[in-house]
Amino acid sequence: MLDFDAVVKRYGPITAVDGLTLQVRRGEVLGLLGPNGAGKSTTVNIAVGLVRPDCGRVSVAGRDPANPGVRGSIGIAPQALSLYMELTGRENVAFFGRIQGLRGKHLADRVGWALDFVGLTDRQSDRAGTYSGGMKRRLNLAVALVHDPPLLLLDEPTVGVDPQSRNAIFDNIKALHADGRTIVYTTHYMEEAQRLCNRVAIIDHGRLLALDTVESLIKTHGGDTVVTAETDGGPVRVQTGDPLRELRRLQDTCGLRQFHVQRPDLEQVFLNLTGRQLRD
Amino acid sequence: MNEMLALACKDLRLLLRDKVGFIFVFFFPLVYAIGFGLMFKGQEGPQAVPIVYVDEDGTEASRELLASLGATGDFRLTRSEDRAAAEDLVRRGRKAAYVVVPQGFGEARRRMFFTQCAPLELGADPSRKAQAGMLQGLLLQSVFGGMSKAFKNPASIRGAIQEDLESIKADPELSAPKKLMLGTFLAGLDAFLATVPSVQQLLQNPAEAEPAAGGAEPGVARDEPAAGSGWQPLSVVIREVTGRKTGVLPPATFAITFPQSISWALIGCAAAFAISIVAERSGGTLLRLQTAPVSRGHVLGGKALACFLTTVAASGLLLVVARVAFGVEPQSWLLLALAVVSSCACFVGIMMLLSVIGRTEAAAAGIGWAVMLVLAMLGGGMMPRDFMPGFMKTISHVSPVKWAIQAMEGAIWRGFGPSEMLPACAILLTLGLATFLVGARMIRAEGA
Repeated sequence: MLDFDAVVKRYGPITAVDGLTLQVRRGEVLGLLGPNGAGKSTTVNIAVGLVRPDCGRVSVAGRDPANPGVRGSIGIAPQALSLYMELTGRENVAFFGRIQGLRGKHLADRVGWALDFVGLTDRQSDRAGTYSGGMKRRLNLAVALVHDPPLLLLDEPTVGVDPQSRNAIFDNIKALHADGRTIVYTTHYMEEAQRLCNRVAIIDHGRLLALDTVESLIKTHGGDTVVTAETDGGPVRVQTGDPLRELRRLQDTCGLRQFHVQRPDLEQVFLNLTGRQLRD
Repeated sequence: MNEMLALACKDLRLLLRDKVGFIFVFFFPLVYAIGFGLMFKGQEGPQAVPIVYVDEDGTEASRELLASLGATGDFRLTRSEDRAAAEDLVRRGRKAAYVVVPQGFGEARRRMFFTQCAPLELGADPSRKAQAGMLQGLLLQSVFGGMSKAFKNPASIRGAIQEDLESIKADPELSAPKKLMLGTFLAGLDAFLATVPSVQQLLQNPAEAEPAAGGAEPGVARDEPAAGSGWQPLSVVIREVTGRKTGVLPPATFAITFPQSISWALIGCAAAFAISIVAERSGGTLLRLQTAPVSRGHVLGGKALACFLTTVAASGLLLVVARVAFGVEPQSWLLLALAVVSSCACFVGIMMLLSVIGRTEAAAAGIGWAVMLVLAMLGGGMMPRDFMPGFMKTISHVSPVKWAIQAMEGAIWRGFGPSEMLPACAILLTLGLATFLVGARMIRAEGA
């Protein structure tokens, strides 16, 4: 659905995207996971044709996204809230629907659906500027959906939202995925990537470090499980591929009082791949 | 105290890093001070007012009159052989006024108590009334100066009086009472003038004053002060050169002020829309628009169209108010529409260019208004261009405000024809197109 082939983008001395090769499959949720400044937003902007790569090629369903006609098949929810705060929620969605070429009853139907989907029907007549942070994020998503695009690019869609709105957005994304849409989800929260994405691409300094399912990434790059225990002989910290067997051994030899098992996660994967924390 | 110092240092550091703020605080006031200073100071003292004259008389007296105007240094005189051509120069705003010295002026000056000639004609640009008033005052001053000079040489006036007396006697159309009245007045004047040399001598040598002071002649002068009352040596007729077909109705003051107010409306619209583009860019909506299946040209074109329609609406509203409330009747609605459309198009282009200069809304607002104020200052939106020194007048040609005002004045009250409107409108359209293309290209380049 979305292909990057050896894409390079530089801004002066800074290489924002460094030889990125990546295929997003139709109907999957692909997470772009990386710290701030890793090149995720630049990748999204290249995908939507806003930024021309210096080298390489990008295609959406085999076509150049710089072509305006191709961009109609993409819905983008940028990281910055791209809304007119002086317009109402409905006016915002309707305006962008019109820009996408929707007219008349079809436009009205799609606007109503998008507002209902994100749970803003009750507040549709209020100005966007009066919405809470979470509601603005949901409206941002509604605008991306109004023209019913098969490919969605969601750039950090949960930044600055309350837990309730965050869960609502997660439910929206799951529903969209279930509906068969292709979603590229950029985030620097590993929990989100783990919870929502079929596959995760780990990016740092514009380079693709790893790409696979969460389980495979952890298995390949996460390392062993860490068992931390308090025993009769004092504190113990052990890395092991079989935590149950290790706990049984500690119980038998040292007298286990309490323990904590830390399974490897994407944070550990990132640490092992880059030598630093995801939020550094 | 340390906390306060830390806060102050922080704010000063922020100011130094905010380039636009820094420019406004330190640089822009300097630009204003220098700009206005140069305008008011001028390079060679007060700026000479451009005047065109037609000397229909061609005598020594008319040449002296015109030379005396030039000698003041307040006027820059240009000769024209043709009254219509002189009037046209004023109507088109090239000259502040014209002066026609009518035939017979010299003879009337020589025989000032008997011969009347047509009045001096002063045709003035209505937007330069102050300069016209100054010119009228100087004309009268010059004429009275000539009289004063003549009275210092009474022999020449006495000769003219003798000619007048003979003409009165020989005139068959004058009634006997009039002949008596004029004859008595001129004879009395002649007698008075005969005393002038001795009076001058007395004034130069007061020691000899006593014997002469007791004479009867001064008493005669006191007794007959009314002889010349109501008489004036020269009259000046002032016309306002408007290009109106009637040729007599001066334009309402509002016909002069409304073109300037429209230029301010255009400035306001351009600044506001420039800020809105920056707001769209910083708010991310521009990015979202650019991801829609429309070209960047469409996005920018839509913004330009909105700005254009707003400027046209604002101009139209002002013109309706001018027409309905203040009776401003444009000479040509069609040419006025051309002027307004050209001006609006120009400011749309400028808006586009301004929108790429500022990165933030605050910066765009600051820079936008700063640029616009400078353009208004140069273009005569704040003070008449006539007060500017020559080099600043030359610089003012780069200001669209100047051309916009000129085009609108041309259509409203200067009576411009299509060919006269063409240069200003062409300049406005060209400037608008150029700035629009540069601005659009820079906006596109930002996204690349």
